Amino acid sequence: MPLDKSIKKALVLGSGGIKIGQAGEFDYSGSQVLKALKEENIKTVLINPNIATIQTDPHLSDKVYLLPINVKYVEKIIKKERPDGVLLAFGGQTALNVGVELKEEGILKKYGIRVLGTPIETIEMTEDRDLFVKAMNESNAMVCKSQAVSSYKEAKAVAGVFGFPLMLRVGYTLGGLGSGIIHNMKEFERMAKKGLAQSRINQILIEESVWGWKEIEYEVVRDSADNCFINCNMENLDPVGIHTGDSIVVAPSQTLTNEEYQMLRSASIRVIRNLGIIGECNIQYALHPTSKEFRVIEVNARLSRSSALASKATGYPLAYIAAKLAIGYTLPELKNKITGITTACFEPALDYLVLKIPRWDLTKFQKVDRQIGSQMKSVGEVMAIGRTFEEVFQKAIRMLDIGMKGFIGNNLEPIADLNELKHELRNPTDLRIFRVAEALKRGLSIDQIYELSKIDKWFLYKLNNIIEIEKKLDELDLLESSEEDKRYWFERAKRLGFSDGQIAKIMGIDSIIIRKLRKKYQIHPYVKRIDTLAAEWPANTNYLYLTYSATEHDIDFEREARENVKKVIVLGSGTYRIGASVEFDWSSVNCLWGLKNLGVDQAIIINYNPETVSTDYDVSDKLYFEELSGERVLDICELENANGIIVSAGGQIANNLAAKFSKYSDFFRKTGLNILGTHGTRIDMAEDRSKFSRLLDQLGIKQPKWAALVNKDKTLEFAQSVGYPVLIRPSYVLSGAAMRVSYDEHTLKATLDLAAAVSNEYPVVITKFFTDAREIECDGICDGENVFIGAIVEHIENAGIHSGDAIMAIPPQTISESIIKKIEENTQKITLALKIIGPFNIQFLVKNNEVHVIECNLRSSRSMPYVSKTRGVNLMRLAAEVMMGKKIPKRLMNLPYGKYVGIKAPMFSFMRLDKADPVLSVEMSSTGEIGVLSNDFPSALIQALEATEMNIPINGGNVLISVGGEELKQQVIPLAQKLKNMGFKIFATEDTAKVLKKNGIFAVKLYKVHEFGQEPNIIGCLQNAAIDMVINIPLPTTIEEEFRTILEDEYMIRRMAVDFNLPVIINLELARVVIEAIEKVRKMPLTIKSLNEYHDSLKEIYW
Amino acid sequence: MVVYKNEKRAVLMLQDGFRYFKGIGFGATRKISGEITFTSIPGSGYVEILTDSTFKDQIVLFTYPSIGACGVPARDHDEYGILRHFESDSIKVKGLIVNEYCQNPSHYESIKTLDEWLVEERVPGIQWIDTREITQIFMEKGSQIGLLEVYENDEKIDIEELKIKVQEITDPRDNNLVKSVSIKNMKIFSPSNPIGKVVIVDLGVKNGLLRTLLHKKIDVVVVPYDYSYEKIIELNPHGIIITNGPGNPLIYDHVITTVKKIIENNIPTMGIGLGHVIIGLAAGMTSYKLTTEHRGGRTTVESATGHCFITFQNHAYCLKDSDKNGFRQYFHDKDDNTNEGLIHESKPLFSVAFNPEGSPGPLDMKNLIFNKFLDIMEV
Repeated sequence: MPLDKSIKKALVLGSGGIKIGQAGEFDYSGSQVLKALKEENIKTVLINPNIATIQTDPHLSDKVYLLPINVKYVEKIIKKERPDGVLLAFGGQTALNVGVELKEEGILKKYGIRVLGTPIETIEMTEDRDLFVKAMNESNAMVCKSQAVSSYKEAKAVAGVFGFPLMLRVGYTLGGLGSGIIHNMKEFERMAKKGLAQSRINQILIEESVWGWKEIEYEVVRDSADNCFINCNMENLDPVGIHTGDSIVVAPSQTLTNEEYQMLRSASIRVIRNLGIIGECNIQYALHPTSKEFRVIEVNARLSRSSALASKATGYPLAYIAAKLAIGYTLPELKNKITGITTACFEPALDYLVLKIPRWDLTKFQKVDRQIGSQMKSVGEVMAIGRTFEEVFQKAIRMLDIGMKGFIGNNLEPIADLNELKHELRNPTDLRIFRVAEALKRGLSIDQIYELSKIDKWFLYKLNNIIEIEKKLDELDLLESSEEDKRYWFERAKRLGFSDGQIAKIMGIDSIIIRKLRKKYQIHPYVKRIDTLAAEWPANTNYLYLTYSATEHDIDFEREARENVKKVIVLGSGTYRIGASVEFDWSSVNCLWGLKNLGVDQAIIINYNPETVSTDYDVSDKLYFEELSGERVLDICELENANGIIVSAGGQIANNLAAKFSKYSDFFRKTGLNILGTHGTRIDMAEDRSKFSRLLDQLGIKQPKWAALVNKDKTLEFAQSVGYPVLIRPSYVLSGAAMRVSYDEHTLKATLDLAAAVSNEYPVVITKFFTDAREIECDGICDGENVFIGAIVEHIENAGIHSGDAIMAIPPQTISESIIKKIEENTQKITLALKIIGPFNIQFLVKNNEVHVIECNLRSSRSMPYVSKTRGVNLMRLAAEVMMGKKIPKRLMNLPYGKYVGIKAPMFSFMRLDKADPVLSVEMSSTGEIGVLSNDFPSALIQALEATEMNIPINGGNVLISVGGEELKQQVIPLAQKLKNMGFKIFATEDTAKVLKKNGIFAVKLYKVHEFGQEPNIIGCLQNAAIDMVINIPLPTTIEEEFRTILEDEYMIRRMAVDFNLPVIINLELARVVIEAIEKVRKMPLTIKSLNEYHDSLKEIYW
Repeated sequence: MVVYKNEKRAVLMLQDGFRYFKGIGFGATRKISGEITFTSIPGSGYVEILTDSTFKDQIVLFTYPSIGACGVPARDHDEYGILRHFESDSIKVKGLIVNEYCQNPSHYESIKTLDEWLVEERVPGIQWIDTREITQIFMEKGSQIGLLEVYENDEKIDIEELKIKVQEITDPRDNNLVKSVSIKNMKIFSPSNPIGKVVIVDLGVKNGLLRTLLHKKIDVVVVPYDYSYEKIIELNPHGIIITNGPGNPLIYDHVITTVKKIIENNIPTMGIGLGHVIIGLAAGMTSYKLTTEHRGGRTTVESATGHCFITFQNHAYCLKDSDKNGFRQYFHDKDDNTNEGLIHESKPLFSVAFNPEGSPGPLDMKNLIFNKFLDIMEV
């Protein structure tokens, strides 16, 4: 069946802000679907408030709505746009859930909208356990014995029948939320009750445990004519029991025989046919390690994290093809985009291995448990490509960017106690794989490690090969060992994925020496292509990786040099982590597009994050799916002989490499490669806080009092003289790692120790910390002579909250014209003094009408897409232009702001992190962000919060107020008064209630968590959904031991609010503006306007 | 370039331009020569590939970089006395080319390593060479003639000597390879309550085919490739299968003659692989050798109705002008449009170039093809 011509306009639902379980992979799938539809001249309407994504760029869809993805907004947009169909498979669980609700509420029927692709009945089948079990039985694919229950009483009865251990799952959630293996009744009661509360359909599932089985995944594609194929199969190194999102995954499967592989393959085809999926699905299996028994764990009837991985692993554009299938095409009608000649209905053949490792950031959260299990906790992932398992494994570990040099050769403190080590192997944490290394080194047998970890022995043997090489390298001596020995072991080590730095560390010498020797011994990596067909067909793909298991390049570099091909390399952003997410991929991609616009022959990207658009098949001219390390980037630079390299698009990883190049300067100079944009020494001047502070002094620009941190005593002396609080800021870090505010000498001492541990390479600075100050940012582009100020952005909260966790507004809402002017002047001075060529981000503090500069980054920033989209000027396009030597067009100077407000708000994942305390500090803890435009500030704010899934009770309800300390209590009185006046019912904890009562505001007193049993208790009220919003403002200062119960109680309130999905406000300024906004928004109609409509109101759009 | 310490040196040299690749030897320590080709089956199917008679006397390169992870299973037999895990009773491949073979396999059914098995069956292997680079040669120029030598530990490689030797190799492609893999004496396999009887003309039958037929409750009689038409008919079969096998179909005149008679007499028959090409030749078509051979588990074929299927394929020869003498094209390769199947308009005859029984590879066509066969046999 060819294209369905009756589809003229299609609605695409995005996935919203990035959170654990739902990350950047949906930018890849969303962008591909928009491209696929556009090619067919189908008008596209996208709803997604994730302003940092590429899919929400104004030219990818015909209309993009930066609005919350929920039924309320989607219906309004449908009413306005009247699309013919809707695509639900490209926006993760969010889109799927909203799709089901739209159907249930009769909205699809009312507006005559078809669901394109997989029918909604199929989606329901995969989401409702009973329907699912029935469908699987019909497909002759067993599922685990299970039963869905809707009450605790029922649950208890089922648990009695099944016995422990058993698995508990929560219906309609993502990332395995609330799921877990339960070992006893006590655990069971807690988890079951919580699960029932969290489930959208008030349902939990109890099932037989298959813990320790092999976990295997198949990505299956099917069209409306019943053609189907397997795109990829994957094997989890971690057994069933660890969420696949938190597992190390290898493609293709490694330990399966043909019989097993085909058994699961055939089952996959039966399943997809029986379900009637049109497009793509992911099927997860548990396979018994010593028999042919298997169970279907789950089916994701949509594009997923696994499908994004499969797509990058095979080079097959799954989302693009799934979109084509949704609009009527069949597989045989479509071509393989990679080869351009072969069919899209085929199974990719791999002549390489692919490995994914999740990236966790658990240490960023307070109170969170580092153990990993059936609930996903990772925030990003990396993918490595190579030709031996050891090679991909070690590459991937380095890609994590957590300071590890590979499987071994790291600075991790080993676990001394053998029993403790065994305990960790059995109860894995985010460091599990390094514990396996320790166990191997300590001589635990492969059998023992398998029994403890259930990691298949094949993987353990391979890992042991790495340990064996380490031993040999350790025995090598730079001077004593023969050249032959060195050459031999270096070659082995490189084949098994050792980096120069890792070898150097083991041998106790400098990595430069290894590189020099390696060159002398002719040990080089080679460039290979991913062509989906294992070289069986000629294919000139752009998709490349490097390996030491080769003797020839797939690329004719000599020919390219002869033909004088003009090349620019852009360094990508690497793994998503807290502090660096999809926004830096947005910058990389827009930089690539900017370069192509300027006529560069080859815009080349280096990146290794499978969840990105920058690693898509059609974004760059060459994609090196490779490490962003000094060694590997240099390898590529030496081969490519490019005209320039851009380090300022990909964020901190890319930017830090500029400094690494100086380490390799001899080699780097020989490549003849220029760093495009701001000069390296200038970058250093901005990044090194001491140097930068000196520059500000010279320019006469105010800054908080500072001192370079020489030693502990001097630092404490400085703190005494400027007065507490003070802030410790290490250089060269993003997202405030090890950044701390100290309110007294005691905490300052502790902070100093931590800062030294995180970054000992670069200087550390101590500054006076301002309380009650406004924080302002400025993003822009400078061409060395002219400065384009993208926007002055004001934080809603006072300074002290990390800029990634703050809510911010364009244009500024509280600061005066004269202050804005002053900020602009300072920006001019700094950017010109630094001779910036490219993007920059400067952060300011405003207190008592004085402007202070806190930092300046000479790279793309987190707020760059937000600023670009709000202003209608693509800052990264401009950045690419100035870095290529162009000047900023005059007409862009002094452009007026649009007559609307843009709000950026953080997206938190506390709900997905059991026990994590949702408090904010100078260290960042949000996992994503959203951005909303609206006509006025109050509407934009409320919509923005709604887009982060904080549903503010506009029309009244019950508000729980609990505030720490006398001063804060006084400040909260007027807010409570206002809520009262608007008809809210106030609930409060004892002390807060007393203060409110004294001021004539009646509040229902709730007993605290530790007063369990006394009613009305906070626990009961939160559990019974009697509260609609929580305002809990903790004291910022350190509290003595005696207040521990209070602290614990406060934490419990916040945590339970998170668990029960209630909006919880923990910042006074935010509470103030939210309450004001409620008052105003109540009286106003909801504005539904697309980004494009806002842009149409601008004088100039530069995109 | 590989550096050696205790490893066995090994070289693969092609006749074409004396291109050679140094690697590390494993398996048997010996020198062999022959036709070199490849398979793109993923790492899981090597036991089946190595014992597939279609590869008889060929040196086979695996495009997948890591082979041997599941080790080698025991020689267990099923209720009919057929080897459970192997496609024939021994390794048929003459030599093995891999990026890396696995020294420490892990599978509950494994009893030895790939290396040990190769040593037992005197098959040499070479690893740590750029298999992708060599595959690109196949893609451009087709299968190659060459030699593979695995040296004793202290032996040095003499490239010049090899160059002389490689020139001396005669093209093995037109050898009668079927003769060496075909069964010597008729063999019968009987399931309980059979629904029909099939004679298999063994040009290199895979155990997977026998297992499939027996599973479908068919009495199976395997006969040598040169069994005459008359002797086959004496066995009173409901149908005949001409199997897959090695070598150039043109040289098997005897089988072509047999098939001609089968067609004339309207005997229900199915051809697979080499058997398919032979049916085409018997029907007056011509065959040719593909440059890009079809060897692997991912090949897409399209039926006349426009449906696509993923198949395991292992063939180098192909039919031209398939619409001839009552035959028409049943399937074609979706990518290069070559013929992948024949079906007769009125007679109970069809054939496929791919292996519907998998072993290894996808089983998507298994039911469709074998049910079709049951249909034409009217059992």
